[in-house]
Amino acid sequence: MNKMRNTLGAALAAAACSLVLSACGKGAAPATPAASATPPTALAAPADAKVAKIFGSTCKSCHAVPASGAPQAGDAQAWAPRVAQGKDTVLNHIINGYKGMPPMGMCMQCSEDDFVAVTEYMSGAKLQ
Amino acid sequence: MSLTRRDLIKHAAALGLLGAGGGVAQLAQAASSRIIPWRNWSGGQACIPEARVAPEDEASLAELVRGTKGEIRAVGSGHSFSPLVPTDGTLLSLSNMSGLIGADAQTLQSEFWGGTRVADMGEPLLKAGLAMLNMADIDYQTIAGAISTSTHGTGPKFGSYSSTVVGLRLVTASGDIIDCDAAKHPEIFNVARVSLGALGIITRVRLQNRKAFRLHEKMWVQKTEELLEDMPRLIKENDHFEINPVLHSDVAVATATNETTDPHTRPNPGGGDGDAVARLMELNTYARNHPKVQAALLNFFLKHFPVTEVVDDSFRVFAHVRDQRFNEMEYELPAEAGPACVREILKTVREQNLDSFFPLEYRYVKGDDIPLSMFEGRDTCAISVHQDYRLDYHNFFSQIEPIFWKYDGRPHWGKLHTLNHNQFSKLYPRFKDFLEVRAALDPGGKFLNGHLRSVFGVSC
Repeated sequence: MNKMRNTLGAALAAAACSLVLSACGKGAAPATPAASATPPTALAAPADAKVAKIFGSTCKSCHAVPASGAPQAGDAQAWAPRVAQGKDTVLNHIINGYKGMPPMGMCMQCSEDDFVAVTEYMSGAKLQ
Repeated sequence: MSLTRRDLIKHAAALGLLGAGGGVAQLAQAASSRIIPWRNWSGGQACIPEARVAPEDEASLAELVRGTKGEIRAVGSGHSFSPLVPTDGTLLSLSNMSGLIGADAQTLQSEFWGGTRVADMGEPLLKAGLAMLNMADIDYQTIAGAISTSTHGTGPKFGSYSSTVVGLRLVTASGDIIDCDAAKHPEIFNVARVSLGALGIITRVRLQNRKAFRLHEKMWVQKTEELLEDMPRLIKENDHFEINPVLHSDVAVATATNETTDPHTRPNPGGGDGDAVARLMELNTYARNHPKVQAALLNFFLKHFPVTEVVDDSFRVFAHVRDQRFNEMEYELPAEAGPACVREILKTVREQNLDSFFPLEYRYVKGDDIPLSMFEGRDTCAISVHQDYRLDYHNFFSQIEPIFWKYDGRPHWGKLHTLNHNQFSKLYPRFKDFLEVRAALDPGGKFLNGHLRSVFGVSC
């Protein structure tokens, strides 16, 4: 009983500390690297007009806003662990939504190929 | 989601791959790609439409509408939680029709393409020396979607986005293009300002704006009861005011936002609400079986929430990054009923130890004269409850919804509710006005899905 009480107490203390740290803007680092405050390199506009249009009308709402916590376009370090999960997983997360990522990235008419192309543009890596 | 061979063949047939003689190669290609379902922002609504289209311009949109026999539903950014969008027919996005069309410094009015996201309106308006009169806390919506559901911000002197519409262009079921405003087709304009996408496709929206301005936002934590007691003064002395009572606690986050001439910018420090919500979720997980401990911890630690202040251009202050997805129910009550209703909700959550941790949202909106607006005929208090998108919301929302009914609430069109035509015809004195215009413009129900047939009580 005492052990259970201690465990509960420790858990509550951890959650409470976490809560107050978060309130002060010092939350613990998430498991997956979030966006850097500023992308390390300025990303050139997409060469493909369709990718440019999709990125400009949907993706940039989060992937060009560091406050969103989403991996930023051009931040290869933040994208690396996502890309490493493979094309099928990345597509599944895009199409069905994952954590903060809304389903379809809010691109209502995008095809699978569109999602791949715009992800490869933002990550600077080829999805395998 | 798994699809059967029959689903795949049915879908391929819908795409014309079989009937058009596309042959095995095309079918094989279709089989190699997954069928992409549509889901809303929270993931709570889904459908597999026969077609997903995004016309390049009004002419091709009108042609498409004219030539489509089945159902068409317009989709904006998919931020509605209610089933306004799901369709087996054609899902139509206006994403290729976005941006500022023009702005007039004399009339302080602007015109935008319907597919423009509200988040993309502030900058071009500022360049034209203009700004929206008021804005919602979330700006992911498209302007056509936002006015179709009477989306709103807070402030008893400010109406919803719909109340600022001075003209719009509609592509009707017959493919006709109608421009309407107070002088031209006023009977259509009157109801089209809030139409749930049931009158046609709104391709252009003309808005009443004002000169560009700056805002000062102050956010702090205080006892909920003190804030409710002081509410008449707080909403009188602040341009925009809202509170977010934290469930299972005695405190709320208060936000007061006022126009300022202060030229010194104190930008939003950045970061969404994800970390804070995650911490509340952790605490709820660990402590929800010990309600008194949970309340004590929340009350104690939230006292350390720092007072934050932001000064910037209006559109950069109104909207906040909301990166933690959720489902939401919101009702609009007579303004004077707000404090009693929110007290009853908080009491119910505590007494029944309901499993939710998202703070409530409590705001004020000025009344308007639009038949299907939730704010029609009365100044309003808007109260929202939320549930994390990973958790089931049915039990929580079903305990809260009857409280809203008790206070004569009208559900937000874009948020979850369980009402139908029988209730709406009583809640909206001019419901019939809307139904008559809808029946005249779309007698075959091209723009209706199952949810809207239930809302309007029609079977076409």
